[in-house]
Amino acid sequence: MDQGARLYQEYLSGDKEALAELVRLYRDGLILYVNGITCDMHEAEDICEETFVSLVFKKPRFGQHCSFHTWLYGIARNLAYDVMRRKKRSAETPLDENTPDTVSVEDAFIKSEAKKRLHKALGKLPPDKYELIWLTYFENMSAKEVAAVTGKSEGAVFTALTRARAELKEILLREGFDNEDL
Amino acid sequence: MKTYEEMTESILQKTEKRRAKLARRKRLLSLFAAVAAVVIVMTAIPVGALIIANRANQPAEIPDAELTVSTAQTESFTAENSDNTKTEYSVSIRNVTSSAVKESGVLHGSREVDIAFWTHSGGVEYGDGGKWHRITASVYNNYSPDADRYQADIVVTDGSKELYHITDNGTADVTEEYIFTYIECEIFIPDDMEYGEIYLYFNITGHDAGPKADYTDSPYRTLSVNFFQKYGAKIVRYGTDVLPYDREALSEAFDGGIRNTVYNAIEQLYYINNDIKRGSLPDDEKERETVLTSRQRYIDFLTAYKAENEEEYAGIVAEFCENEPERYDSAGNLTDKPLMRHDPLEDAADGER
Repeated sequence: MDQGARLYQEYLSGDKEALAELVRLYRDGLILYVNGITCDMHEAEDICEETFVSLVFKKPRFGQHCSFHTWLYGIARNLAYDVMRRKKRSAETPLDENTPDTVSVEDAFIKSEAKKRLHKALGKLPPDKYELIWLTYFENMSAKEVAAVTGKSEGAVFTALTRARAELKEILLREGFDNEDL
Repeated sequence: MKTYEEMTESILQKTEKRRAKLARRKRLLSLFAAVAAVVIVMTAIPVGALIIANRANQPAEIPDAELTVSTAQTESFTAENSDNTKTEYSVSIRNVTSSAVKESGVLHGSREVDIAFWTHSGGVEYGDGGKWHRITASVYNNYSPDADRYQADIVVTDGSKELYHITDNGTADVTEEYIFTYIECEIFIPDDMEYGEIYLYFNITGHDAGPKADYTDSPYRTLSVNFFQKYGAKIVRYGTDVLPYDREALSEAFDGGIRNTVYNAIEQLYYINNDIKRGSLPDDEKERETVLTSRQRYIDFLTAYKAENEEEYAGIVAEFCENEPERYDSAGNLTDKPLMRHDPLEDAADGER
């Protein structure tokens, strides 16, 4: 059982502190991931909170067919797309990436400076490509896990990821990264 | 931005509020049920008296079996025909799952599940061999504030094996007290296929706030509609052997039917060809193999389509060349990259020679 699953189990057994620990463990990554879909940091924070409310209010069963991490991101993604559908917001809105909130969450979640620069470049990708890169390189998910979160087949993840990487590389080169950095 | 502690506190407060709201709703629902029972009893007494009085003057009737209401499954059909008209038909199920749900201990029988299922012809015509049908399934799950996640599947079979399988997963907003979703897919029905089946599966996961609270998957609600036989419509296998379970390709076929699917296949093949040329296929052997398998499927699909529809195919290639995605930069501006003038299928063949 992974750490998230263990904490969730402890929370279901009545340990309130386990919930706080889950929030500490997953909040920042979730917000940055959802921000890639909503392009709105405050909305991303609300959706992240709503994801945890869903866990606490409905106590869904974690089936352990995937990791807790993957499962949680799947819930957050569904919520984010539900919100997007309701609001019919254009997916082309630039990513909300320079607010003080974004910077502070980024600082808390991404330790390496190179990765921070990479994350900034990532904001220029369309949301569907952003989420593939984010899940793969910032959340260290396997293609199978990314497929589980996004509802795509593994093959579709591979091909889309190859394209997303190529597009990201172009952006990075334009922004002064040199080939060796890549 | 809230601190971790503030967010945890906010989560707990929101949860408490929702629990209180849910309890209020349940009380209201009980009150409504009690009032309804009184109204039914008060109405039934005079109506019953009227029936008894009436029967006294008439010979006994054999009970009509159709009047026996089954809560397990009720289907109602509207119109359908198999010609080229745009007539819609629908199938709906009400209270299909009462008994199964009760047994599962997840959602109670009092919760109503409405499934409306319809399709319409008049989709994209494809030669003389048949046509595309769009199938849309909408699912409305009422009075289930604690049923918050769902999976809906449409499966089309030829009677023995799956031809299409479309899945949709989602969540419902608990504050709205219902789940409403729809999924759709497009199937090609050729003239020479006379039998097929469509199934709609709808699976809800919910949490019963009662003393036996448990979270588990409720059984699939299954709607099996033998509509091909029932309405004389026909289904064909064309295309299903080449892109049988590719959800992406199918979902992208919604707006333009086969043309869109072909366009999409051309685009995918173009990308993969370019990746090969640039030597930018995935490094991982398994990933690379998956991409190359996909590529072969696109080649097979396009070759089959082109053989039968050379003119249409050339038109779609011309359109793709005009819109070729890589002529645009990531900001959507047209670059000075020259217009591609060739067919990715030929490109693929060149690569193999």
